[in-house]
Amino acid sequence: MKNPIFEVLSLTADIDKTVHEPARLLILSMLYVVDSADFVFLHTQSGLTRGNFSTHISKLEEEKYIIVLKEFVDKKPITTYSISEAGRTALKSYRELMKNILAELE
Amino acid sequence: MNEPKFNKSKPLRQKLLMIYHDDGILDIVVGVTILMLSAVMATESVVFIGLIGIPLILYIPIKEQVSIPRIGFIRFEAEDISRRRMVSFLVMGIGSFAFFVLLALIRTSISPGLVEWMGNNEVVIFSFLLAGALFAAGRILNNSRFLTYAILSLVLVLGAYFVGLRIWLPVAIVGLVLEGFAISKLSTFLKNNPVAEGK
Repeated sequence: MKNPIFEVLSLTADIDKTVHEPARLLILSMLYVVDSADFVFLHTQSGLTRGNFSTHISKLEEEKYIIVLKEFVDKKPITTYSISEAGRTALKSYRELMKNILAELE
Repeated sequence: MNEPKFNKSKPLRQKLLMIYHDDGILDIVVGVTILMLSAVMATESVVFIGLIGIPLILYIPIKEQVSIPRIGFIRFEAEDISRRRMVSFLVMGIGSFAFFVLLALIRTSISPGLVEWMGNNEVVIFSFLLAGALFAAGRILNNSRFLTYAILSLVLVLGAYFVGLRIWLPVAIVGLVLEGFAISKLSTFLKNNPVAEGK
């Protein structure tokens, strides 16, 4: 008979590590509920250091979970981020998976 | 069924809306608009009615100068949806204005009973319109301060009406209360949010 614990373990193995990291989860969640936000807004709300924030943003960009738009407004560089369809799907799947895993604790 | 791109009632979205409007700028602009309205009522001068909307036009430039360099920019809806919403607000505003003008013009042809009722209850109608506008702003922006302003305006205007005071006075008080809260909010915001390094 198959060990039921393995079923739970197999679920945890499916966790998307990119989304699971708290800082990235926060950034992705913020972008999920709005249309777009700029670097300053996401950085100030995340409470991360500039370097740390940039690292997490780069990871999300690398996974194509966010769309980055760089432009100049009044000769100042502005970077705006929005969530991509892949990011939206990843966040929804993560939420479902976590619900299933946590249901094992009830 | 297609899931909407984002759910407008999501608590996180509501919290972000609250953060974005925590600078008090909207309160300042609405407060000045109400003070101008009270000035029009006090002087009974129709000439200044057109000036009432001017502070609202200044909202975006003030936000760009004061708030965005500090906390950044967030767009809650896609640009085309924002534009459509702006147009519908404008149409609603013009429509309401046209409705009142039309009402004034056809006053003689509508039922004298209704005209008399409206004449007798104009302050009550006005108080509910003012409170309704503030309440709607509070609901749309998830800003509990505006719900408080709505209740305050209703209580003050109706109170002044029953006591027999001139109506511009409670309207001016509502405007001043808004300004008081707004200046305190803005000073706290400026203190807590220095200009951020942009990128």
